[in-house]
Amino acid sequence: MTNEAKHINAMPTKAFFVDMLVRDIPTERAILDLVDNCIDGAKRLRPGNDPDFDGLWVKIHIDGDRFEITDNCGGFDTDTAINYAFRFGRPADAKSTDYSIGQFGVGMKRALFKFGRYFEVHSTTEAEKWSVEVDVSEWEDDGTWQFDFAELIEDGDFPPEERGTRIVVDKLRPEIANRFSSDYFRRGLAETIRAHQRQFLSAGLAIEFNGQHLTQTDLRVFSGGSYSPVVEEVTFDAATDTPVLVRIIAGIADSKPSNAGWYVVCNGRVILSADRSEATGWNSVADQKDGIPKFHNQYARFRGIVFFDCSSSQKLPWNTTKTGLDETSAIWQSVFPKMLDHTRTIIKFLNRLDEEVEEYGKNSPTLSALAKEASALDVEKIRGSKSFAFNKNPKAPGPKMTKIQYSREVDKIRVLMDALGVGSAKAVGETTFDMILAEQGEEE
Amino acid sequence: MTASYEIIDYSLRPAKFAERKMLCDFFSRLRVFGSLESYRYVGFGSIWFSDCVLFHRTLGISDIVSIECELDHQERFEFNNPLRGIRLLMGEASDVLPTLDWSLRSIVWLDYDDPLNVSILEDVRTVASRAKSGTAFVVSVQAEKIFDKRNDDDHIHVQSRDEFSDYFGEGRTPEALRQADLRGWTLSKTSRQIVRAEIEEGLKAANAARPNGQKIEFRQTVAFEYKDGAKMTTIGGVFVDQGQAALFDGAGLRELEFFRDSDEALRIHMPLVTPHEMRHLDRQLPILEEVGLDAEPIPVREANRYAKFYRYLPNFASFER
Repeated sequence: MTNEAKHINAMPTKAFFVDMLVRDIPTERAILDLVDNCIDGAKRLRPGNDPDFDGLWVKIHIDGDRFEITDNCGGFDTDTAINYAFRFGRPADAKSTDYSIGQFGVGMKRALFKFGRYFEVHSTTEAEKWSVEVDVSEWEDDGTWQFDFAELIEDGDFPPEERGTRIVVDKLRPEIANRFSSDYFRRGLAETIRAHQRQFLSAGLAIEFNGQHLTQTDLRVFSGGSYSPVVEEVTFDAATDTPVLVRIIAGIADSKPSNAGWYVVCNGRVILSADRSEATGWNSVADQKDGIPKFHNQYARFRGIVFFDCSSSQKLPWNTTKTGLDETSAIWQSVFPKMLDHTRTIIKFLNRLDEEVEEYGKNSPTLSALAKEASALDVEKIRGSKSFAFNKNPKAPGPKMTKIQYSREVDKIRVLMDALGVGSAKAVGETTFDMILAEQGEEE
Repeated sequence: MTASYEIIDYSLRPAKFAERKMLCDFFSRLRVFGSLESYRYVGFGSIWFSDCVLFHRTLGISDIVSIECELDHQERFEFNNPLRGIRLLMGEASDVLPTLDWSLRSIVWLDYDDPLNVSILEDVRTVASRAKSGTAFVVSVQAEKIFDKRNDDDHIHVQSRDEFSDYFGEGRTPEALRQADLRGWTLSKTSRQIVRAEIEEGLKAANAARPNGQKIEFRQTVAFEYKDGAKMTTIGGVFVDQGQAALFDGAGLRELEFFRDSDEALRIHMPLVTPHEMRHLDRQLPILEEVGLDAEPIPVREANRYAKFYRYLPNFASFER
């Protein structure tokens, strides 16, 4: 019995590999990954912490038959394609983009395999133009772990308007075709892209989704007069060449329950949006003396935003897929208590406001002072540490009011509605009050 | 705050009466899928049970479910139940619908008094994701104004795309929703489009697990709008298995004069004519194209409305008993 020439075969089959690869990534995330790759191209073209992306665009088309994403963000060269972009996993010596979000790890392949059984990737840079066309079934049957170029020009001179990347997937998997053809899915996705890439949209990048331009979602807080949001700026690892800049802003905005909560932004990508869960400190244990309550609609004016920026993206508190929070990150752990403090400050103010509104109704002095003095400012433009401030002695716009609430039998209320010719129980209450007041000769 | 049956005598709403009769014509053509006697009717019969009685008498359906949410008045509803065949199920539609047996071919009429809200859409999805082929599905909602009532103290009248998306969610909000789409008669059209989209989404989810050729489609058949008091609108159609598409096409639904499969609805107008004028017009009906209608001295508009709806109009008479 010799040991030579007897090996146990552990080579994965491609079909198994593809199946495993696509299993644990949600469809929306796969699409966000591809958009991130375009944005990384934009960042390579216009480096820096505060770039202007005006003139750069990403176009996405999705329907029940086909997926397509095109950009004019510079393309990527054959070297990247040969050594990184189509490899499964990240080689140790891979180059990275400063402040990058997506990196050619598995994002692109995973998305392509997840969507369909046929894909094309075309890319043009200043000097090169290449494309890859893959029929996944044929590729799975073929023994080699490689893709072939369908077109390859390495010594061209291509004008800027031709430089970019185009990815097409068709022969969609049935479950993907089913989702891509759903209006609800497409609208929800457009909204997700809009929310997640808001900072790049506001930096001038144009994202077109099925022919519609996405506009950035507004993140604004009230500021002006005696009103100011709290702003806290901290730097971690300041002495290294990859410092992490953190900016926390908390304040009040329009009363919109669906927009209220904390937003966490890493290198421009929104990883948590309007979060009101334990992750950002809401609903912390009730028996703590000053825990933060469960989110309730009276906090619909709360907005908190925390920006993390670092040229080295692995220092940021996001998970490996860059789509959510890594709560174990040391930097997150030291920022979190600061966020709690600011949440408490704002909540205290909102509780007071709630009592005042209960008392005065729409004539609340604080609200009318707010409307008079402050305006909604884009959070991107708010810099420099300051503390939360509001008008502590607002003038009441009218006489002091109190709400009266009581219940009576429905049938009797209806009798009065008919008799007084009014259309609601509230109007019955108000009209009868005014009548008695007049009768007592106490009217002003 | 008030149960609607306490305010309106449903039996005296003429446009609604006409709508019921037209629906009856529609349902009678479902025979191609199976005998009508084997169908189940699911509706909100209120205290009048007008729909339940009409469909029992004209279509022969005897398995009838009436869902009623006014729990406090159960006794009165039981007392008014006119037929042994009607099962009164007390509770919100959202709680009752999922407990019904959906393997039966059904005629379902979710006839709400309220304007479109999230809970209505969830009920629509419940039916769309469960219904068997051959099931007819009709939804009626009020279409005066949409309100976001999530906050007890502060009902928001939904008048803009933002407010709509805030309440219904971005997925349910059409990309281009103008303010004009949320008021006047246009709101009726918008309401039907939103219901239709919800049906399609419910089907998509259920179809994902059905083999090709057995996926179920919704074939819209009717769309009405009218105003007895508040503006109301209705959309209805049939769930058809791809394999049974030919049955639907052979059912003659397209020949119905009120057949509507697009966003445009039939607006039901009650003609204002006296009994004597009705008899004068009756003698010329159904209209002969080449002769036209001799309306004198009846206003032409009223005469035409009468000619359009005469088969479905209620006959009023007061009687002592």
